[in-house]
Amino acid sequence: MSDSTRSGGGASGIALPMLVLAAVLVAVGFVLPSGQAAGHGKHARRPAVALSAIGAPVRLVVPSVGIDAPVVPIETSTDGVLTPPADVDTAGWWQRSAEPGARRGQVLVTGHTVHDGDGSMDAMGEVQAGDRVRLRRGGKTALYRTTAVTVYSKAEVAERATKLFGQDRGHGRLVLVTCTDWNGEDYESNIIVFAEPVRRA
Amino acid sequence: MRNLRRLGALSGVTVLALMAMGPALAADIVSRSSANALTIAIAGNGQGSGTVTATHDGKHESVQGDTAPPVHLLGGQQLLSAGVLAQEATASADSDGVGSSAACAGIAGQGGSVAQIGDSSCLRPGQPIGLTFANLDLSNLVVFDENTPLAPLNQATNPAIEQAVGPLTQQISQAVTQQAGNGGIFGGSLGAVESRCTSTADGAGGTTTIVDGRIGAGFGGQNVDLLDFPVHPAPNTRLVTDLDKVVGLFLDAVRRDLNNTLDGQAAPLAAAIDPIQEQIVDAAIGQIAPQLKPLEENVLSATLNAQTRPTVDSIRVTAIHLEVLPAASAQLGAPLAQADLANVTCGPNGQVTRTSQPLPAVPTVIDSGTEGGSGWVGDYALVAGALVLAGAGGLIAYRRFTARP
Repeated sequence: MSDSTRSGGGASGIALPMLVLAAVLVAVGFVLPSGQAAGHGKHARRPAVALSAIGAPVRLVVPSVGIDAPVVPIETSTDGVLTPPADVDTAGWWQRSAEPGARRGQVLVTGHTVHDGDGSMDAMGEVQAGDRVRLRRGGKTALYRTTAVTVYSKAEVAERATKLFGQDRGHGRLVLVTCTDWNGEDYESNIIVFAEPVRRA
Repeated sequence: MRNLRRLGALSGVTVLALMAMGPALAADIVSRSSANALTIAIAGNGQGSGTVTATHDGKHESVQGDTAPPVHLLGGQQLLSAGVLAQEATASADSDGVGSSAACAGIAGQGGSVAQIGDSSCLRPGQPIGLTFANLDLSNLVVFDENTPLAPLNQATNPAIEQAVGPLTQQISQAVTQQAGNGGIFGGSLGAVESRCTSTADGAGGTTTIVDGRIGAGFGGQNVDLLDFPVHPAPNTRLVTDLDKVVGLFLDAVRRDLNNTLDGQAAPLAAAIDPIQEQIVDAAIGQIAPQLKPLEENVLSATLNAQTRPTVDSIRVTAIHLEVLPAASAQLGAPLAQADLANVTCGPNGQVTRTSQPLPAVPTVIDSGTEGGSGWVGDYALVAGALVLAGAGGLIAYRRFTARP
């Protein structure tokens, strides 16, 4: 009897805190409004849309396809290869491209498409012209509207690299890039989404 | 003669140029070495086993040359009869771009072999290999030649010769000249001779190993050992020629030659030679003994483990540097015969200049696809699953606990 009592007491010692924790989490979930709900509120505040460059972005959001990924600066190799961060959940901003909100150059952001899933830009192929894209840093947001979704082979990307990613053009447009056309061993093409800045006073 | 001069000039210029250009080449070459088993020049004809050179540019090693040239390629010479030649050179750079180099060269007798790279030596000794400077022309070195460093012998011998042999002096001179010109042989044998060097950031060093090495002379069918080589000679070891033996052997040969060529008719001359020899050996050599070094330089010069260091991190090692009749330089412009056995050079080395390469203006490849995810989502899912299981287990335990009467 005494053994049974001790055993039961031990189980309750684990279960009770778990239940309390679950209850607290549920309550918090009910009490706290979600971001989306906040946006629908009558008096909800709009995010501050940057009128100038916001600096290196730290988050990429494409609400229409569920992309919401942290962003870190990245750089090309000496032979011109730009590789997103090793953490496939994180996107990379080419640190020599324009900063989001800038009026000159092009903002280049790339993220992984993972064949098995869970890549930060797996859903890039679902993006459609007119979708909104946000790049955030702190309390600032640079807002874009997609204008075109294209697919280029790797060779075409190399051939058009200056036009696609050159910083002497673009007037601050956003270029999102990931891979596509999995051939069983490698990706043969890039999906490139172009987006124009939405500037609101 | 012209070829000999050209060979010497070319070799010297090449070595000096490489050494001098070392710093200038540092940007391209971070380490270098070379190996040459044998270079000889006899009677104006220079030849050798070729040179293996190794260089490293910080990324790749480049080795050129034949590392195991066959002896038969050394045609037209009698210095080496058979054996194994080895010449290995390597150059490298470590992960920090610091260069280092090593080289090994040598000669082994018949049955010898090239050791595995990485062994302490690059050669395994074989049977002693013959070294022969055949048909050495000593006609200009006879005791009667006033133009040689042996001229002091004349002062001791002329009166005796004049008195003893009188009208036959010319015949004796001819016999001596004939003996010296046709029968004089400098030669020897080697089991193996090898030089090695290394050059690293800590400096350069080199060693020489000689197995069963000796040099001798032969006149009229008789041989005498002149030089016995130490196994591990100290750097720049000069060997002294035993002139007493040379002169004695030389005169013995002359005496036999006179007996033979005059067919007994001049046999009495042999008796006349004895006092001459006695005077020469006992009196003249005694005068010459204090001047042994300059005489050595004019008969046979041997330097073992000859080392020069052009820079702190470079070295040149020659196991055996031989010059026969260096006195002939006055007439020939170079020693009558010279040989450099087992030559290696290491360094100078440098370090790769890590210049940051310019980045391209734009990326040309965006490598943004992988087969499998390495992100943390899967880990989070596992944690969440574990929490759910733990929660479920806790809930079941709680129900069992509360259901107890």
